[in-house]
Amino acid sequence: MSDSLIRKHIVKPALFLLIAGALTACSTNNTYYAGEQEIHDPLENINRTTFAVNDALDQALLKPIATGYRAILPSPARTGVRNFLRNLRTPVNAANQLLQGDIEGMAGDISRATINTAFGLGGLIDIAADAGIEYEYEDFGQTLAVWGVGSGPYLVLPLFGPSTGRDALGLAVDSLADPVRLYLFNTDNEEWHYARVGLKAVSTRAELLDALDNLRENSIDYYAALRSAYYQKRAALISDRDPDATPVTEIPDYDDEDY
Amino acid sequence: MTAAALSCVPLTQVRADDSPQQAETKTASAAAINAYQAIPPTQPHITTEDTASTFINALSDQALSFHKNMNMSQEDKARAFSTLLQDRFDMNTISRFVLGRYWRTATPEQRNEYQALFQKYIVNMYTARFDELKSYNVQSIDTKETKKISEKDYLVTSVIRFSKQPDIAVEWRLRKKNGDYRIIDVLIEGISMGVTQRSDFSSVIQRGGGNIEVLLSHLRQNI
Repeated sequence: MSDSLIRKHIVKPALFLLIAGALTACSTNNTYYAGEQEIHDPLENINRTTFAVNDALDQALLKPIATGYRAILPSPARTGVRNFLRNLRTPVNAANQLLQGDIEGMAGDISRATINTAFGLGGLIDIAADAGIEYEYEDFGQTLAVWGVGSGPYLVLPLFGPSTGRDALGLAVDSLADPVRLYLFNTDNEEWHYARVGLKAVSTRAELLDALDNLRENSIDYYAALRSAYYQKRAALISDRDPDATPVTEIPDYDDEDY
Repeated sequence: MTAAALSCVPLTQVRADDSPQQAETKTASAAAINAYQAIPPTQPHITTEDTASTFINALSDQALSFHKNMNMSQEDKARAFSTLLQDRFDMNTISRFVLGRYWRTATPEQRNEYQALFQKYIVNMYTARFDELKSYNVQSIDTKETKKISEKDYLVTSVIRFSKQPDIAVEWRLRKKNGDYRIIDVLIEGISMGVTQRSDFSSVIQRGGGNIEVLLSHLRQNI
């Protein structure tokens, strides 16, 4: 995709969303909370509609496929797929580590890719984790957050699901800049890229089968519960689960006389 | 300190109306707790972080013994779970936190009904969750570390290990009151159950015009 096309089709709409979100985000009607985090959802009506469509598609298509995937493939095989896909993502992951100033993280990514590809059957086995170098998922949305960019409005993307202005932009940048995708497109192998995207969707959905089922069954407002869970998950990822960096939600002492 | 913290919980006392399976489960749990109490401390004094993680270890043993006990009926499980929740979880704090600012505008009758419904809601939810776990083989629940996060609160990090599934990271937030620990929140993979439920309930009430009755009617239906 040429530079001007990228600018026209992705950057401009994304910037528009971010700015629109920033301007409209301050109305208190659409401000919610996930613990201490503020959620701005000025597009809530549209989001809820998209959410309903996504949910219908999910229940009808993706969930049955993911359930079948889980039933057919034994656990080690599914883990292998997950590891392989993670390995493919190394360039994007490592680049984001670097952009966040996490040199140790970047070195870890490179080590993991080297060890797992050479000794882990091309990335199927995560030997590096056994050696103590754990997987750390990084994306451009997290990088933007580390750089101080606010999350912008909550967005439910068609097919992709929960996101924010910032995270959607991050997703676009990561996809466009991914060397693996660029290589496949440049060698006329686009279908492998789409196969990879499809496999990633099924693999991820299979991992989340129980968690999402639970949330869907037990919550009264599934949309609101998932929105909250999304923000909490992102906060955990951004702080790399550093307990000192994660803010502690205040739970008052209700036995105190002031309550 | 360990003995004092754990002996306050009469959970493992075999009662007259217990079925043989219940008695067996309780005896097994008591034995597990006694085993922990019998372990001599390797340090000259036990810190509160240690007792906090011991609390979670004892709770995990109890939960695992429920999990592995295939002979318990649904009603027995629900009842055992309800007792476990009342004793180990601070339901008052959790229910009030989840309702958030709407507690203040609720009448005493609404408050009472809400807390009773909330307890049933939680019991149903966790019992159902437990049932799913039946098909997975839970190997162990390992506590990793304990951190003091505020004046009275501790965060115990643990991992649930399965034989054929990836591990799940679970964090337990405990509050210490009068020498006793009680759970005030559970975080699964970094996502707080309390915070998520609060977002859920407050959205229901907000979209219902700020009326807590909307929430109560949903909870009544769910039971």
